[in-house]
Order: sequence, then structure tokens, then C-alpha cells
Amino acid sequence: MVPDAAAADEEKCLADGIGRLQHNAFYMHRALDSNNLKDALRYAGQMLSELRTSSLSPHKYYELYMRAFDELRKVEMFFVEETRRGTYSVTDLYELVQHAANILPRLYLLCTVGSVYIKSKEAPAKDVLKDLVEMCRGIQHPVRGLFLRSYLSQISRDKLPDIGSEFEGGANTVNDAIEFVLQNFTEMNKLWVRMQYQGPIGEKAKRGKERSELRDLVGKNLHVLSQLEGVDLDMYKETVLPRILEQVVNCKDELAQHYLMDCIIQVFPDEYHLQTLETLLSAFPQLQPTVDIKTVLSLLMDRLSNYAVSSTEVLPEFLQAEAFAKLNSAVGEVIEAQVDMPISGVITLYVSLLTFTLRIHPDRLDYMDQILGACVQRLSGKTKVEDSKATKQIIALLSAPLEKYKDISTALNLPNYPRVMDHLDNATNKVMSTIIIQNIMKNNTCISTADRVDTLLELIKGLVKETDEAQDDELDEEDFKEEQNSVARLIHMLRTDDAEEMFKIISTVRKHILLGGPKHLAFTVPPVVFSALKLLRHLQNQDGDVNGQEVSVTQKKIFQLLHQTIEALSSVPSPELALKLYLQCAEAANDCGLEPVSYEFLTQAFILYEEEMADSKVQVTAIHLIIGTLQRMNVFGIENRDTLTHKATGYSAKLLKKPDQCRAVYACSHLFWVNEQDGVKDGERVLLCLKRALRIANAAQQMNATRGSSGHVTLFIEMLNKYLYFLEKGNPQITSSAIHDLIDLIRTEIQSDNTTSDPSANAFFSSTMRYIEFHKQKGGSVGENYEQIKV
Amino acid sequence: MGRAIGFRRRERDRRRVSAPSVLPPSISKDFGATLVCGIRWRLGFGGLLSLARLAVLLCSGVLIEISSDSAVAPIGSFRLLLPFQMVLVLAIGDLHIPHRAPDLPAKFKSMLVPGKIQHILCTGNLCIKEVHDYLKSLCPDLHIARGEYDEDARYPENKTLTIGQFKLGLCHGHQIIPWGDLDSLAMLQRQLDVDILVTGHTHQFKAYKHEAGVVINPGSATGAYSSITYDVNPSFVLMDIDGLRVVVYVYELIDGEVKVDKIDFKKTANTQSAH
Repeated sequence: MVPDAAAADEEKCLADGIGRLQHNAFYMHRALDSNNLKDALRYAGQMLSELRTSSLSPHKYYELYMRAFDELRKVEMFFVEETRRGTYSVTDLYELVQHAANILPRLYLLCTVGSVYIKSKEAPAKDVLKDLVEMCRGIQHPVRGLFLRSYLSQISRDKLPDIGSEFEGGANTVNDAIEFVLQNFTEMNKLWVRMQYQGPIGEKAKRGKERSELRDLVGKNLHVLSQLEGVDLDMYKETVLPRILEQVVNCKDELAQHYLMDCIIQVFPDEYHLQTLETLLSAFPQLQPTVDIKTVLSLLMDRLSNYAVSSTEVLPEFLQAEAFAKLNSAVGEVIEAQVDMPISGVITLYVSLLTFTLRIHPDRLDYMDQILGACVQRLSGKTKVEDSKATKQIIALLSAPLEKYKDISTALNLPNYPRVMDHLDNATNKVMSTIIIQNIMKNNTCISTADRVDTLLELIKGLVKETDEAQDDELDEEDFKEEQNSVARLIHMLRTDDAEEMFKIISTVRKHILLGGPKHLAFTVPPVVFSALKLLRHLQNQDGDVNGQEVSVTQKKIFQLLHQTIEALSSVPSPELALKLYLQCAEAANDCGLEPVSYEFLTQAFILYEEEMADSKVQVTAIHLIIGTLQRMNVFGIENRDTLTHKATGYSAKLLKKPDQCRAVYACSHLFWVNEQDGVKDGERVLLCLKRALRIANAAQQMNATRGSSGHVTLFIEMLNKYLYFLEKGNPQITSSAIHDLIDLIRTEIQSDNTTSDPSANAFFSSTMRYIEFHKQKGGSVGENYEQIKV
Repeated sequence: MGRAIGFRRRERDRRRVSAPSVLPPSISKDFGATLVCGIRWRLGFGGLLSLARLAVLLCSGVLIEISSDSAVAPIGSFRLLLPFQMVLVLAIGDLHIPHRAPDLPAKFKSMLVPGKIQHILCTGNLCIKEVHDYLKSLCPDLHIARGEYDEDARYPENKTLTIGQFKLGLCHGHQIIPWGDLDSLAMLQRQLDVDILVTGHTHQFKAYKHEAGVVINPGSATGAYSSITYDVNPSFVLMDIDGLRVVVYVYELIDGEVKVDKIDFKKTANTQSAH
């Protein structure tokens, strides 16, 4: 309630003030209209007396001031008119207004007349300005003084003896203008700073707020300075900047120092900053230890970076000014001077410095490393950074070179890059690792040496290694999958055409990923396996021109590596995946003509099938892959081949569901009949398989009959198609009578099923019959085989 | 006018050699011819083209060319006027991300834009959810058969669907032994009773016509390693199904360049009786 009441009081005070002000203004205007100067000045004085109040906050005071300001403009107009007409002389007026009873109204009126005085050029501008700025010292109350001086600054702006201005010349030089503004600025700053120390201690925070409302009044002076034509680089360097900095440093006020440094950087051109970098930077360490220097310094560096890219012509200036060295040492000094600066602040400074360096010295990797090294130094001795602000800054720091060079290799060349990353906690390390991977994927960067691969994987170990912390449980399953998939994608980017180096890369990757936990391996092993298989293909293609023996040594090494890698996976347990990978390797070994290796891989696959595959659906897929792979192999001698085919057929016949059994067994028939030139063609065993499959189909049909359902006619039609297939291929064991029997069987089944007719089976059968018809008509060698079939 | 058409022709020729940036590629001029009757009436009254201009365009065989460039009418609005609906079907599969490849080739990604394709038939082995989501973003009507590496167990082993006058079947193909064997695939085709069978697994593009229909293998969209095929080039297939005709466009990435091939199939009366 209290603040509200106070606010209401203030509101009332303001309203009263405005009321009285308007009242006096009214009479003042009447006096002016009737050319009664004496009354007019009296009312003007009374009107301006309202500004003497101490009960308004700066915000409200400003409202009152603005009204007074408007009225004063009219008074000024009146003075201008009257002096032009010659009713009064300016000199007289200048004396006359000083008769006002109170000092504040007196000074406001004096400034107003002063403005007219300068305009009339009856006295040198510099003398009037000097007089005014000195007289204003009479007001030492901060708020009133600030507004009075602000008024002075406002009315004198267009009357400064600047170069090119009508008030320059004779005794008036631009130096006088600068001197005037600087003096006004200094006095205003003093008032502004003093404000902090007046009034009760309990309202310190409130005063801070009030002061920041007033800061633009002070800053306005700097703006005026920057607008002066006469302030060229030399002038700025010799006079303006040193004088401002002197005031800034000496005022020893946190708020003022922060604001004014900010102001200097913003209002003066970047070119000036570059040329006076040393002077400007030397001020930073002298500021109060509580000043938020990092923001200001970052602002300066950001501005300079932007300036550097604005045009190519300015870059040499940066080199000439040794901007990097100066900024670098300034950053160092500031950090030394401000012991309490939080680590996030320190990193922010380095981020700005790094951005600056990237823009101006993109070729100087040593600079970049120097900055990262300095960061490491600041971070060392501390435990992992967990402050979220600081980690965000470190990520910005580490991402900047990636974005700039679009090539991770650059970062990998910086010895201090991984050291900075070491200071990240696990979660942030993962975030950063993901950024690195995304960068590589986006720019399609290949990492083509084993050393770099090693560095890179060490860098992103947060994703590759298993973390021993308990937070694993909290980890979101989806996130984890996404992370690991990105690692898997990354592995494909680690490649080179040089076979020897590629092998080293694969070994390196393997070394790293095996440090991962069981959950990681299911994601990371397959890409490594396929990288190695690709390398094998590559070697095979080269086989012609490289010494055969040498190659096969590498091949054997690769197969060894593959074996060990997949083994890790099968113990994880991801047996299904391991089985598929073993089969891929077996086929690759087959292509290389390595029988024992191939046999070993198949053995591993079979062991996994026997010991680990429990789910019937998984079994079906696995068995199809086993048969499909085996069917394509030609490396085996009769004995090995028999063992393997026997096993595969055995597995097929032991599947749980009869239809699956039947299909797997008839698929096995292809193991004994390979269509290629010198492929196996064992017609008898094909027939054995088909008969066995047919028996299973019969059994399935009977089981169905006991259940009273139908639906396995399809199996018979599939069998019929298989018979036709081998008939077509010229297997002498397939007789037309067997086919006739099958067709009859199917017809009976379909008819007996009539009540629950299966349209898909009917369609399958009729398309099969059409197929037979087609071949009979077509004739030729295939047609001959069909001739004996009567439909 | 003549010069303008000449220019268009050249442009079309050029586009056919290099990769078209917008799907579909130039549509054949026979296509225009088959539709003459249907279009002339409708377009004439629809006021989209003057009859004279239409005649010139038909003679030069670039009618569809222009419409597909959306210079006259966007292809979607054009379709409403056609007697048969023209449908684009993307067949894609065996991406093996991230086991065997990091991602789809950038060139393919820039060609496959959402909203141009009506159906996707995917032969499986995506292998992860991100890829599923990506395909879904291209076209919500997504059909997937399960490959042996797919983690999503909900994909069926095979699937049939009807698009226009065609019945299509979809299967990954690792179940069909010997792998990639056309006679065995033909058996599956008889079993599913489909005009077009789309399968994968071998990572090699194939479009094969036999007495009972067409077997298409879109290959591997990422050019993934395969034990069956050496030197796999990334490829996918776009089918333009229109009435009784299907035009198969094969997009293949060879040495960094996209090559497009066109194969025409027509459904005969013989196969129609299957319905």
C-alpha cells in the first residue's frame, strides 16, 4: 500500500506543479502580448520556480521540465523578435533576466537569452557559452542541475562554433565548442554520480533505478561531441577521448563507468576505436572491479568484427593497429583485474575475441589456439563446468571455428580444442559432440587419416564411451537412439581411398567403439563392419594391379578384425544383428575365395541360431537369410557344403509353424540347384526337398482339417510353382505325373473347400494355370518341358 | 510462336539428359497424343488454351511439357481435366541408414520434394525411424514392406494395393530364394496376383516385363553396400501411372550426376482378365 500511496502523492504533486506552471505561463503570455517585459519576466520566474521541487522522481520531473521547456521556447521566440525589432538590446536582456529572485529560474532565463545572444553575434559565441556553463555551477542539486545543463546543451547544440558552422571564425574555434561540451559533460557526470550518495541508505536500489533513467541526459553530450564536424580522428585521439576517459575513470562509479564506456563505443565511429584501441583498452583495467566489463568489451570486439567485414579495405588497418595483440592483452588484464568475474563472463570475453579473430585473421590458427589455450588456463583447477551459462558460452566458443571453416579438420589441428572440451560435463560434452557431428554431416567432410579419426573420436567420447554415471537411467531412450544413430552415420564419413590408411582408420574406430557399453555397440558395430566390408571390396577391385599375396594378408587381417568386432556384439546381446553380420562376412569371404574363413563365419552364425534365436518369427527371417546366403556360396568343397546344407535343411524342418517349415524346406531345394554354369545341380536332392516340403504341406492341411478351417491350399499351389520352376530348369527328376498329381490335389482341395472359398488362393491357382498355358503355347525348349502337362 | 516452341523443345531435350529439378520429368509426347480427344474438348471450353494454340501445341508434341512447367496450368489443376488420373508413385528402398550409409545423397534429397508424389512404396531396410519420418514427410501415403534390418516390427512381410487400374505388390525380397531370381519373383507375383511387383534386397535397379506383368527393383537409394551387387549406384524409381500405361523413370546417381532413364509399360488385355 505504501508505494501506491507514495505514487499517488507524487502524482498529485506533479498535477499541482503543472497547474501552477500553466497558470503562470498564462499570465506570462498575456504580459508578453502586451509587451510588458517586466511582468513577463516575473511570471516566467514564477513559472520556472516549479522546477525547484524536490518531491518528484526524475521521471515525473521530466514531464514538468518538458512543459517548461515548451514555454521557454515561446519566450525565446519573443526575445528573438523583440531584439530584431530593436525594442531591447540583447545585452540589456542578458542583464535583466538576472534579476530573477531565485537562482534556478534565473539560470534558465539566462540560458534562453544566451541562446539569443549567440545568434545575434553581438558577442563571441565562446564567451557566452563559457559564461553560461560556468554560471550553471550555481545549481548543485543533482536532478535540477542535470536538467538545467541538459537544457543548456539542448539550446546550444546548433550554436556551437563547429567547423563549417556560422558561429565559427575569429576568436571562435572548434576547440571552444569541444571545451564547452566536455565541461558540461564533466559537470553533469559529477552531478549524476553524486546522486548515488544522497538520501537515505535504504533507498540505494531505488536511486540506482532513478539514475539509470537519467543516464541519457549525460550520454547526450557524447552524442553531441560525435556529431561535431571538428572532431576528426586527431582531435578525438588527442583531446576528446583522453578527457572523457579521464572523467570516466576518475568518477569511480560503477553505473557511470559501465554506461559511459558503452556510450563511447556506440556513438563514435569504429574507425576511431581501431585507431585509439590502446588508449581505450587501457581504461578497462582501471575501472571499478564490479563493473560489468565483459559486456562492454564484448560489444567493442563485436563492433570491430563487424566493421572488419564491412569492407575489405579496412582489414590492413586492423593488421597495422595490431588489434588482436591489443585486445588479447586487454582481455587478459581485465580478467586479472576482476577476480570475481564468473567463469561464464570470462568465456564470453573469449568468445568475442575468437569471433573477432575469425573475422580478421582467419588464417591465423595460432591465434585461435592461443585463445583456446587461455580459456583452458582459466578453466583449469576447476572441476567440470556445470553452470549452464558458462557451458552455453563454451559451446559458442567451440562452435565458432566450426561454423567459420566448415571443416572439422581445422578444429582437430588446434591442440587446445580438445582440452577445452575436457572441461565440459557429460551432458554438455554430448551436446557439443552432436554439434560437431552435425557440422561434419552438413559439410560432407571426410576425415581421411587415422590420427585425425583418433582425435575426433577422443573429442566426442561423450557419445562413444559409456559413461559410468548413474544418470544413464534417466536418459531418454529416444534421445539415446538419436545420438547413437548420429555416431553411426559419422563412422561412414571416416574414410579414404588409400587401403592401408583405411584399415588403420577402421582399427582406430573399432578401438574407440569397443569402449562403449552394450547399448552403444548395437548402433556402432554395424557401420564399422560395413566399412570393413567396403574396404574388402575395394581391395578386390584392385586385385589385378597389386601383389596378390600382400593383399590377402590385409584381407585376412580385415576378416580377423570383423570376427572380433562382431563377437563383441553377439555377447552384448544383439544376436540377431550379429547373425546377419556374420552372414555378410561369410559371403564376403566366399567372394575372396577364403573357404575356412567363410566356414568359420557361418559356424558362428549357426551357433547363434541354435543358441540364441528363440522367437519363431525371428527364426523364420534368420533361416531365410541363412539359406539365401548359403545358396550363393561356391567356395565350399563337397564335405563342408554337405555339412552346412544339412544343418540348414534341419533348421528349416524344425521351425514351429508348419507353413513356415514347408516354405523354408522348399527354399532349401535351391541349395542343390544353382542355375549358374558350373553350379551344383543335384536333381535328386532337389526332389527330396520338394517331397519333404509336400509332406509338411499335407500335415499342415490335416491339422487344418482337424481344426475345421481351411487356408493352406496356397501351400500346395506354391509347391506346384516350385515343381514347375525346376521342370523349367530341366531337372530330370521332376516328372509330369508328379505335377498332374499336384494339380489334381489342388483342384480337389479348392472344390472341397467350396463353402469357405479363399479368393486369393483361387487367383493364385488360376494365374499359375495361365502361366502353364502360356508356356505351352510359347513352345521352345521351355515349352517342351510343359508339353506333357495336361491341364 | 514457332521459335518459342523450338526453344521449349531444346530445353526439354537438355532436361532429359541432365537431372530434372522438379518432379516429374518431362512427360512423354505419346502421353499427350493418347489424350487428345479428352483434352481438346475440355480445355477448349475451360478457356485454358485457345483452340488454335492447342492445335499448335499438340502438333509439336509439347503440350504436356508446357503444362508440367506450370506455364499454362499447374499440373494439379490439369489433372482434373484428364479422363484418367495421372498418379506418381515413388518406389524406394534399401537405404540402410545408418548401418551402411550416412544419409540419402544430397542430390536426391533436393529432388524429392513434398507434395509431388501421391504414393510411396518402400521396399524396406530404412532402417531407423528418422528415415521413416522423412519418407512420410514426402508423402503421407507410405507403404513399407519389412526388410531384415528394420527395427520396426510392424511392417508387413508383403503388401498389395491398387492404384488406378493397376494392382501393385510390395515385398523386400530376402524371403525369395534365390535372391533376385526373376522366375522366383514371378512366382510371388502370381501368388500376390499383381500387375507390378516391387521388390528390393539386391541393391540393383531392375525393371523387367514378363508374360504376367512387371517386376521392379528400385535399387538402393543410398547406394548401400551389398553382398549381392558390386559397385552399387544410388537409385530410385518413379512410376507415372496413367490409365493402362505406366512409365517408369529410373533415377540413378553415377559419379555425382543424376541420370534419368525412362521405360514404358502397357497393361495388355491378357493381364486385365486377372481381375
